[in-house]
Amino acid sequence: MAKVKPARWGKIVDLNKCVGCHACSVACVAENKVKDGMHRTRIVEHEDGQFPNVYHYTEKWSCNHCQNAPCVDACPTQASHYTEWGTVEVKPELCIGCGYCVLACPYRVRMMNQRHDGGLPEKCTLCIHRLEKGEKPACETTCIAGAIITGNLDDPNSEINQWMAKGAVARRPELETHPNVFIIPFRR
Amino acid sequence: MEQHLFTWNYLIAIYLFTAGLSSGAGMIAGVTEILNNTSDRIKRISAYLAPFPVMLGLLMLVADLHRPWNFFQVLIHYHVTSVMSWGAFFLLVFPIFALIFTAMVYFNYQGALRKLFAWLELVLGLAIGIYAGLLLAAIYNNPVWSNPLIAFLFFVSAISTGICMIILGGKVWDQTETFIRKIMPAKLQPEKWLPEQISLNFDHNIIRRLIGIDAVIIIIELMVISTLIISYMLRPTGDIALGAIITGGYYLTFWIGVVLLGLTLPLVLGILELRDRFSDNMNLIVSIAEPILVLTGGFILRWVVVYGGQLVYPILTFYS
Repeated sequence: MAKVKPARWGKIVDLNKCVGCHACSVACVAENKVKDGMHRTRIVEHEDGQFPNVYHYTEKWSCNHCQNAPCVDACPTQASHYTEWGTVEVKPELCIGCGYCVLACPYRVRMMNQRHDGGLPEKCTLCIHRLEKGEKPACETTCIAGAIITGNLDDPNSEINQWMAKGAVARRPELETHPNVFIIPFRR
Repeated sequence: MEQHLFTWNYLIAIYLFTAGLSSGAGMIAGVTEILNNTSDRIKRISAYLAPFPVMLGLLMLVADLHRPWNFFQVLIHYHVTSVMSWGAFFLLVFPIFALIFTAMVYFNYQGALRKLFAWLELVLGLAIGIYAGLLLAAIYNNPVWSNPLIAFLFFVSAISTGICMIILGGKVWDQTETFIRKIMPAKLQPEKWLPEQISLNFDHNIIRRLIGIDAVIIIIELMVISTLIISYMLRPTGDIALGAIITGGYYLTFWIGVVLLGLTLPLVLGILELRDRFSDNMNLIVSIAEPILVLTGGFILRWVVVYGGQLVYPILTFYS
């Protein structure tokens, strides 16, 4: 039985703490039994600045669980849908594996599985199966830098809302996808 | 990452191409039937050919799915915000109505329903022609695809390739019929075992008329391509789009395969043909080579746009 009631859950990644160790990526593969060569979350490396003042930082990159998701709009069978946890998931019984959601996603966080591996688009589920039991997602429990936090965005007293006050922003807000996953941008 | 770069492959390009062929032939069949003042032979060959390319394309589409055993779900679950869902509906009904119309034309049915099915063929052909480009244009985050002119370009190309399929189909039909008449003994002549209206008599005047129409459409297509390039230049993400298909990436395939071999060369051949610059033997070769070039160019156009559009995705990750 579910210990935790569904609510609008979200995630914040603090890029100032992220060290780019890929532990979240590997923990996710182990937890969700993701197939070879596939990743639900990965590390994107950024190099920025003008010589000689250049800098480098890493970013955990995964599904942003948009509340106005292009992938859900694009899906022809309504297999991609919003869950009561505020996340975006795929119903395997409806999915035809057309790949339209992979192309529609402006964040490029979905990947198609091979046909013999089931052919579903591989994406982050925010580890709902763990949230229901009152646990934290695999990436958050693994993160050595404490750069990831998940929590109830609707609860004003939750720790995630204290992180929100530290200047968390949505990725590519101009797309008006209204994500539930935020980043605290890298500051030099 | 390379194996994940291309979500859609050449099967989608074939499917978009065949959808265009069917759309073009279907619209011509519908228009010629409704106006009823053009050659009966154009009407018949376009009605005969219209349903079949898209049926092949649908097989390609199912072959490309990663969960093909679930294919029926797209036909029973619809989603109004998804362009693909609309397309699935049109692609389900178009072959059915087009096959009925083909049977009506073949068996020379002259009832009241014939006009209705001609209108259906025109409207559904229009819908499929628009849908094939809109499927890509609706992906609004893609700098190459999210351009209304891509949809328009595919639509114009659908008409052009449809006309060329009619030229080739009519020529093949005519030659086959002549060949059968030559080898069959008098007892087994086609009139004995096929309906009378089978004979197309697809002579050179009809081909000339179709090549003339096609030349105009090719000029429109070249204008749309130049407008598309300007439209890319005017956009903030235009450099990425230009780099994928115009100035880099698949630019050689695009300029040589589409613009030179697929549009300019057949346009020149067609104009020379219309001005009677060829001998009779050359006429035959040109009237076959010209549609083959246009058809090849139409396929390469889909191929370049499908693959070139997916080239830009790794860059999108680094927007922020």
